[in-house]
Amino acid sequence: MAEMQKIKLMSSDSAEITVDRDVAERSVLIKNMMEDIGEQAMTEAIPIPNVSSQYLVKPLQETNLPPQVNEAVLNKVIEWCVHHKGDPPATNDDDADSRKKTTDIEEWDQKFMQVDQEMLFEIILAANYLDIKALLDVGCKTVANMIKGKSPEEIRKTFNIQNDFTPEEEDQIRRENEWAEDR
Amino acid sequence: MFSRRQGSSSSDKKIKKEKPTAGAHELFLEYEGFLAPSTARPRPPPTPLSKPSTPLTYGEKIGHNVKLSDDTPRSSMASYGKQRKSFSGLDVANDELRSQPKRTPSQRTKSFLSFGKTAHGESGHSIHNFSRPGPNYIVEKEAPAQSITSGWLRRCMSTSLKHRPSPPSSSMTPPPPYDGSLIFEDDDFTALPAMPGCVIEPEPSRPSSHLASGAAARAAAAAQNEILDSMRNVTLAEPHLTRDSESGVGIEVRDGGETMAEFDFDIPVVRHDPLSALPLELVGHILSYLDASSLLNAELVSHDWHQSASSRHVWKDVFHAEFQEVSQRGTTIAGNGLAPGLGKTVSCQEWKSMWRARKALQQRWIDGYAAAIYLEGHTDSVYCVQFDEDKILTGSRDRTVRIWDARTYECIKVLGVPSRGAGSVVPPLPVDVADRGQRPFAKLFSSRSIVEPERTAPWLFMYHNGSILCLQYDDKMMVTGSSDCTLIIWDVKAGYRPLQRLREHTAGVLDVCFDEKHIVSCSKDATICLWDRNTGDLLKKLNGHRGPVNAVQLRGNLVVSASGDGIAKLWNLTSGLCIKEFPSKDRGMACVEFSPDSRTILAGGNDQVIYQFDTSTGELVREMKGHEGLVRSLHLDSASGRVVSGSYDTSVKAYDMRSGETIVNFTKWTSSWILSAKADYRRIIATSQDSRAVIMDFGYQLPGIESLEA
Repeated sequence: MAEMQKIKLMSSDSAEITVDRDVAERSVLIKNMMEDIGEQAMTEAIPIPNVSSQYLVKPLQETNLPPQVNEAVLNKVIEWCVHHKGDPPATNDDDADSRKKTTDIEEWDQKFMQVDQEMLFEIILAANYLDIKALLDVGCKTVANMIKGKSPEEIRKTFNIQNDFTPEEEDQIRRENEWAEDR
Repeated sequence: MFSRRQGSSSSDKKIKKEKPTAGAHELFLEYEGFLAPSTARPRPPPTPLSKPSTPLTYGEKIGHNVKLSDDTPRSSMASYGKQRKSFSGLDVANDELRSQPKRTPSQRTKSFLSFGKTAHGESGHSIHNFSRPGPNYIVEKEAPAQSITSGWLRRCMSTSLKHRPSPPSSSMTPPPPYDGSLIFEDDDFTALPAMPGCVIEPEPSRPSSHLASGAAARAAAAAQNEILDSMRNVTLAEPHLTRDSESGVGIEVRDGGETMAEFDFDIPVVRHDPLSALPLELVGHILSYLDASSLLNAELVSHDWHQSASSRHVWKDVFHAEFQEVSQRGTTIAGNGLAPGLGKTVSCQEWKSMWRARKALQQRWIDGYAAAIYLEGHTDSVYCVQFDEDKILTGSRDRTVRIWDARTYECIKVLGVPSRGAGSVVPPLPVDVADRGQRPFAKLFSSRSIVEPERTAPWLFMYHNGSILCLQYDDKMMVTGSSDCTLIIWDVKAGYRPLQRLREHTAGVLDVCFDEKHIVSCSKDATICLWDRNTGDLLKKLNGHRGPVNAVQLRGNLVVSASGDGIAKLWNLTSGLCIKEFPSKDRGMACVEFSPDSRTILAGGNDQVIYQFDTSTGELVREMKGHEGLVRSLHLDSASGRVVSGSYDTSVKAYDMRSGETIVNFTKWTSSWILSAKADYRRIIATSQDSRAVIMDFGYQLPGIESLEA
């Protein structure tokens, strides 16, 4: 048995990164791609698209660009994949189960997710694009934990969001949700 | 937007009230409202302590904070208040301030630079995300800091200023050292020069202690926000180089070695609204991890958040996470028929209102708030009951089974020939007395329209010549057991037409239970019979009890039985042997329940307690107490996590299955012994010796309760 096959990935900003095949195949997208294009994949770098880093300063919806994975993000994602390469494949059926464990992020992942919001969202986008469900879940849980248990003001503060409600609108929502309080 | 905020009358009142003592700005320590204070508030005069040499004025400070508070009124205003206090030297509320009255130059630098990073990092971002109409803020630099920071400032200007060449607001002090107006969003910078005590650490890293709830989550978020710690510096610094000119992050990398070490804390944070950074489906994914109260708060963040957080998709997850968890634990039991109260399995339901109804219902259980609906029609003791959302079936000593409409409470069918001489005298209900515990909040009675047994009906050839002691039905079949020693199988689909009579027992059939394959019956003759459900053949007879077998339950290959001999037995159906015994402490057992996962056995009887046994170890795990008479009936509603018991002490109680605590205690809702009690997500139906059945309906007239029906 030869040593682990290496494959090359190319980030959106044209950095080539060589990784073990089993690491790269944590990504369902890459795994499928490898199956589709076969051995060719071993020799050429697989481009992980897109464009430039520009979108970072703009909300995604405005730029309408697909998520892009630049070198920093790709490195981060690979770091995660390396650490988790031995994990058993995710099961799809226990969605409800994993939802229960919102605060359950394993220690290594918690540390791994100690990045700024920009990087966090990029990791989530990359995980979504590359189809790495476990990483996507960890990322989303991390954001959920930033929201959980907070007052609306605290949430706004956390994400620098402007309150665009009129007092009347706020009142109305509060009234609608009143039944839920102290219940 | 700013003018909109001014309208809050409550906050205005508060301001007025507190103004005289604390000054216009102190009161925001108390500010609890949700509306940011108006930016139009009058600017206070400069504090007397402010050094004349300091170009930074009080007014700017305030203007700056007001702006911040636009996003985050409560906590930022709180910190603002602290800041003000230390400003005036009246009261240093902040512990950190107290312990750190003076900043060293290096600290200053740190704060200065890190602040700069914040401003720098955010500037590009905020251009796109926020078009704040408010004035821009003029930041003064102080001489000592200049040499260290000027290089950075230049860079800062070269990057962020070119994006936003905003002119300084005329009302603010012009900034002498720089002609361009720097746009800063952090307190540190402005506070720095003249006020050594005014160190405001970056907001995100300081969980607000005055908000008790969600502390852990906040701490986690704070930790998350305190990034750029070792990890980022080490792993990301290099790769980020290419991005720095764009995002403004990572200045530290280029700022040279001597400042690097000082960047380990006070890290500025780039803040993005996830709703604009991420596509909707990922936002939904994130929100699906939240609990209901977090979602309700999220709805109040902004219009976008409201839309996302109140979506059906998200609430469906909440609903299921909260209420389906329990019900999925066990497998479905054939013939159970109990509705779990999870609504229909169709798409596009209003999950949020369903959650709301379910939550309110839950509260009614906790409060013991239920209506009593009396089903009157039987002419003697009602021994058994089973129900679903459409119908209620009761079996009586008057030898009939009555079928009631679960919505109109009308008796729609009577099966059997009523015993001769059975009177229709129903004893009066006990008068409500306050000290008898929880009373019904409403009382209703089934219409006494007399439903005559169908004299011409096909079942006339087969009926019980004795009391109906037990019954069970599913979609296809009903089985009744009687004191006439027989069981009758009825075809439910053919209008409860009797199909077959099972004869073997030599005394009254006290309980019956069936699944897809088998029927199990137990009798006063101390035996248990196993029948083939489809053919009605007798398969096995389980001998071993030394007294009447009062109750039986079937789970797959296991049967559990409870007997007057004071022992509950676990049987293996294949071998027909008793594999375990669960003795009572003293007297006979009257009822038994087997949890759907077969792990737990509950039994009650003359010891007036409910025993909870571990099936595999045989250990007595718990005794649920409270009854003052024989525990006649037990029902485990595993979907709701409740055990319901009925007793000769005329009470019906419900216990929390997890804690064993009594949740509901309804005493004397009928005038005599309780003979049977079953429950689903919204009601308990109990039958009594006084010939009544009573629906204890927690969902009665509860808005939205219909949406929970399957």
